[in-house]
Amino acid sequence: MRAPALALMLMVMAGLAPAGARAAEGGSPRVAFFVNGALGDKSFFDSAARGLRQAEADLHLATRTIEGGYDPTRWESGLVDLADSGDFPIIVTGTYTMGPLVQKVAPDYPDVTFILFDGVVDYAHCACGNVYSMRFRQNEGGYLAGVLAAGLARAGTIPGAGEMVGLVGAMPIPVINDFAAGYGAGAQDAAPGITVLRQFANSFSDPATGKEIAEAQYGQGAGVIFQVAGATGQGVIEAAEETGRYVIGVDSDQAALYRASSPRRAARILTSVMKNVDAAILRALRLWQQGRLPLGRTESLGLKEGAIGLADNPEAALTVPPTVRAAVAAARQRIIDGTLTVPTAFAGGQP
Amino acid sequence: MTPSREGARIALAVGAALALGFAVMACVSDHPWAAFRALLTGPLPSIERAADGRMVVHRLVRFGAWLQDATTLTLVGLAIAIPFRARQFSLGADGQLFMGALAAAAVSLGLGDTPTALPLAFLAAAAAGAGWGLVAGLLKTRFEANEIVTTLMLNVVAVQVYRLVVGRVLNDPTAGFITTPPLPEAATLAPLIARTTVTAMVLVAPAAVAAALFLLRRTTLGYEIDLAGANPWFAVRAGVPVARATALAFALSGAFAGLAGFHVSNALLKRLPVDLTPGIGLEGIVVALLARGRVGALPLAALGYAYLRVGAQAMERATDVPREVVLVIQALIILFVVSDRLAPLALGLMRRVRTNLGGRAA
Repeated sequence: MRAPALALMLMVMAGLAPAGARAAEGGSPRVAFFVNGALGDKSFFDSAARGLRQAEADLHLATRTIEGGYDPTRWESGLVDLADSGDFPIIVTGTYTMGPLVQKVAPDYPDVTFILFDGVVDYAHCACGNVYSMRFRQNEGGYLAGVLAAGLARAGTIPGAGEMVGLVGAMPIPVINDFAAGYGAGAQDAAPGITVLRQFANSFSDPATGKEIAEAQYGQGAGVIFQVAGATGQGVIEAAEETGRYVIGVDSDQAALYRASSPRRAARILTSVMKNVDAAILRALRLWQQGRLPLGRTESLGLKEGAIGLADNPEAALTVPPTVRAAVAAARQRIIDGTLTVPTAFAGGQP
Repeated sequence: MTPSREGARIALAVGAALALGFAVMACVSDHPWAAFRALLTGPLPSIERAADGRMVVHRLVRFGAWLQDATTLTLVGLAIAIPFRARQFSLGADGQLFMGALAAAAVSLGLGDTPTALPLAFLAAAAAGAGWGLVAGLLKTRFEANEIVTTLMLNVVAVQVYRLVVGRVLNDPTAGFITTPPLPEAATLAPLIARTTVTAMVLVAPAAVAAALFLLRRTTLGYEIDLAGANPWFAVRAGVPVARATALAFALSGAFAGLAGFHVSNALLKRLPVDLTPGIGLEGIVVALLARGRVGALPLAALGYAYLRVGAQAMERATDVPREVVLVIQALIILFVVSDRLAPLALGLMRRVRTNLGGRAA
């Protein structure tokens, strides 16, 4: 019935294969970026993609970004396919979820260099001499966000808000908890006894739930919410616009991303805790080009290395009193100097 | 419809869809031909002669991804097609899959590295899926609850139970993301082809189809399920236990979806992340529709659909066609293949044109 037709179809396709397989790959991209999700989060993955584009401009590397989608059963074959193709001497990928997959795949392809950002492989238990991994001390950025949010809330300049700040997280995973640990500590240090609300949306890609949670926190009296939720955080920013309260963005300079499309939204974003994944990837690719990439080890990057920081948002900065701004700057300096150690959610005291 | 007509119909639908897809690609891509070729040949490995004259196989992983995908799709296709025989439109494969995966992982982790872990996890997955399916079946037969609503709602419940258990009970705090610990090696299936995720489950899927066919064609229960679907009033009058047959059809479908869950947990991922995406089960509807509800045609429909999905991924990886366009083309092809009226319409049109031309020539 339908069998002959399908069989015929497959045979025709098989006939095309030898001619097609190679020609289709045309050109010679050198750097592949495998996204275990999709671009467009205006946050983490978009920041990484920006780093790749920058590498194309500055380092004259050809790059290709591949979105693996949100179905985890397809990530392993996606990664192996890139490594196996032989077209990419270097593969960039990120998140703690990808760590074990890189650990599994990398030893099979010793000629391919893997750059893993915001994730680790267990070098003690894997022949991963071709993997370079980067961890970020996001707790330091979270701390500054906490100082800023709590300082502003205590100053009492936000109409309708009480002595309360909020946090909306994507999921209670170590990276997000690490942001939150820093945020809570910063808030308590800046305004002892302040209430810090914290709730998780259980998704990185659910702006509707993010908005719901944010509305609830603003309703309870939170003046500022720190959103650490990937694409879910877009809902938090929307809630900030509608309630007239404030939000602190994450990973990318989110005020800058919204400035053209929605200036009202951008004005509610006090700042963003920048996890400069883009700069870190650019740096790693530059080192690789120079043959100086420290393969086979993990580097920890934070405020001191410029991998973590706060973004400037001129519109919203006007609402922050000078004393609060000074407190943030002082905390930043103490962290860089090493006189202040920010608590972390990672076991062993460091990410 | 005669077999040859049916074949012509499908060939025409696929051809038309591909032509339309090509038109879309020509609009967005600088190299539409390369993109088109990647779509059509993506899932096939490439064989090349290396410098030393040996044959080297590249991209076997894509071939593996094709078989892996087809395996899952066949099993969830069964989960849709079996209740369909009893005229029940079950959308519950997703929830049954999550329950099956969860049960398999829990049993594997509970038993640890023992040889019994694998078969017991396999059975647990089937049982958990069947149990979850039976709930929908009983709700239908005892309380006349609409099965579309109950199965969809049971999906929500299953996914949240899954998240609760993975996040709170089976969570591995050292992992860096919310997930169960890696399943013990004895409980997982090793790949049959190196560097791919093709495991023995690729053989289980056709075996499951054969078993389902045997059950439907050669057993009393299968006959009862068919009767319940064909004419429930007549069946009841004739003394057929329609309610029992319907409920069991749901349970049976759940067992197969549970096995798809086992495939995900013990063969593909070998640990369960909390954010396993729902929707894998719903792809079974597409497969069942492509097979027009015929159980025997499911593996072919699954292979065809998986080929398309993997080809679309290959196109995305190899060319400048963005992911969104890839998804659009994929949907277009399905739309064309399942559109019953479209093909006869086109065939009729062609015949008319031909007779007109013939008339003029005469």
